[in-house]
Amino acid sequence: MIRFAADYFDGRTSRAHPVEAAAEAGQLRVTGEGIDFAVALDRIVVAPPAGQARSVVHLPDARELHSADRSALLELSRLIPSARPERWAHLLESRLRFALAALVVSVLIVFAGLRWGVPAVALVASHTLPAWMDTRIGEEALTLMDRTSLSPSKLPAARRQALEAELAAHCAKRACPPYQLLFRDSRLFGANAMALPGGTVVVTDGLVALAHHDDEVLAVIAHELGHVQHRHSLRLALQSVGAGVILVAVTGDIGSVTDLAAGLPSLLLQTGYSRDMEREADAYALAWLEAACIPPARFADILGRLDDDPSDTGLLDSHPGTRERIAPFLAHGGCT
Amino acid sequence: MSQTKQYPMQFTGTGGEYFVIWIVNIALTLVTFGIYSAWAKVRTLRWFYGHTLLDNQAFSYLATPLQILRGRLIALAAIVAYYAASYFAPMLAIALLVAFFVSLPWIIVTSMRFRARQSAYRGLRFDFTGSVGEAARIFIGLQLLIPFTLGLILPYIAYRQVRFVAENTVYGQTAARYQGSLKPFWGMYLLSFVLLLLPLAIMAFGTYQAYLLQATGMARETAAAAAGFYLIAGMVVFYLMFPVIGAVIQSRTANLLYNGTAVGPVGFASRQRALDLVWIFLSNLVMIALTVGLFIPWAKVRLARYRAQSLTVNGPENLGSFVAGQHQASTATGSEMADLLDLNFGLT
Repeated sequence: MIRFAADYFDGRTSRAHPVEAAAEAGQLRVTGEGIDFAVALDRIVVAPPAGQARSVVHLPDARELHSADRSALLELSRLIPSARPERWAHLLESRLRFALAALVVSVLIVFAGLRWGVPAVALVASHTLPAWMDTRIGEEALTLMDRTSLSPSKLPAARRQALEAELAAHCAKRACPPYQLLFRDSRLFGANAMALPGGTVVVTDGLVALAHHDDEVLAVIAHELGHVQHRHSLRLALQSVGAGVILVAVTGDIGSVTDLAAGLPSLLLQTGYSRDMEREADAYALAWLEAACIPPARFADILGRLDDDPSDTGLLDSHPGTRERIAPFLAHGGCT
Repeated sequence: MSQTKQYPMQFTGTGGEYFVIWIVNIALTLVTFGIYSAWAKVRTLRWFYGHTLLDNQAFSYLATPLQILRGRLIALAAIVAYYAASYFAPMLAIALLVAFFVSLPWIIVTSMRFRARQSAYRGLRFDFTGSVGEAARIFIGLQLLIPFTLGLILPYIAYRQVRFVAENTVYGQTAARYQGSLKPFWGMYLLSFVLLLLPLAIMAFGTYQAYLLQATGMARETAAAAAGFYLIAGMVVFYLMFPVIGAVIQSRTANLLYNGTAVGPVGFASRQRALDLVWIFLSNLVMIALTVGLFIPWAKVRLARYRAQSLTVNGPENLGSFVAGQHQASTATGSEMADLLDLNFGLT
């Protein structure tokens, strides 16, 4: 038998009636000054106690019992088949080591989710999404960059056409993903090349100027084609959405004060993602160069020079270390 | 005239106790792919309500997890539909956005109503009776006038919002009244404006100094360096001013809301101070960053305790004479929509 002292509210006024409640033989009996009634246990609801906070027993007709006797309410809630999922919560909360285990599990799940789960889902999603989506996102990105950070190329038309023709010749021999090569001048990006969703590869005048040989430009373009082939930009966009969803799920009801602190881990992992992608693009470039009979060392040459260019270090921060990257390109010799 | 009595609002929860509930909530939410979040929310609110005591009686939160889950799913479906549409059918996305703004007053009112109806004290529920039309006037109509009035309407908007919340709150059957005036809202915004001018004044002073130094024949670079100190100091003060102004507005709005409100024979005295809130905000932020988020439960409890401590209820010797209103069902859709979109209309 469970017996506890409580305040009874009749649901009609805010007056508290001190009563005694006892659960016995399938019913809860409430007795006090001028009060004596019984309610079948299957008609009452016990709000599962959370921590040391006070809890409420809901009786039919909006009547309530409030009690500070938590252990009695907890026992009573066990007699009633409602609120099952919260029993798990209560069990975990009851021991400090369970709570610590919950902490460890949470950290592991968040980390694994961000590091492997989100990229895997983004990879699958990028295969199922139609190709025209990339194209549209790419077009919008290009329009935006043309308006803000890119200006028309100052290279002679002949020079541009020669590079285009060389690339086209190689792509005729070896399958390239559908691409569109564009030349732009940019003070912001300096010597750089970028792949946009949908296959647009933008090469800056600075990069062409930095190259000692056309093959070096082609090697960088091959690397960008690797990004196009693997639809990296789309995956990156999907990943940042996915990471955002996870972090919101965890920190959701915390409030805006903590947004600053919560945003930091996702930033750290964001550079991690693009490292893997750079490796994939490098592997693609290496295979491409070998098939095209261009010495892979050309890529190593221009990469070494890009790294020396101080204006570029900021943008290259998300890439793996240059020495690590160029090693396989130097190891491979002639073409097959 | 019957005797009145002062009842301090108390918050009896501790950070350590909430930490355990918080971390278990997060773990179960992650393991169940977010479905448990509805139970987590109810459990959290029940804990906060159950630790908020007035006259040794706790508040209670009555929503059931399934209500919250249903509301969350509907709100989530709407947001997913919007994102999908913005990719695949931009025109439909624009139509959905327009529909969202049109239904915003409805979301605001249903959200406040849900929160009120799921809150109870001494066995009686609260209710919120604000109309969608009035919400539209205050939260959209008046806001549209901000640019035309150069922001001078801001105090009036804040005043109307506070009045909207206070006058439409009902406890049991007793409707609250609001007796505050517009004047102190002007004071609040004037103070905020002056605080915002401070960094600009520092920067202007720096520029003026540089101009003077250059006029006396100092090299341009040296003069610029001298001014640079003031420009940087101005920027730092500028960013520091955001939490300060936020604290000024939050604390004064809470005080103006409570101090002007009366529910039947019951009145309130709220004494929140901007400086206290600034200290709580900044120290919470630093501790959360240092502990990679583990301090969050303590941070929330500190804030809840401060808010409770600054509130006193003045009422009759016996608070047992309030009468219940009619019970009405309400759905969580609006409130969860507001929750997921991080809309915040609550004033305290």
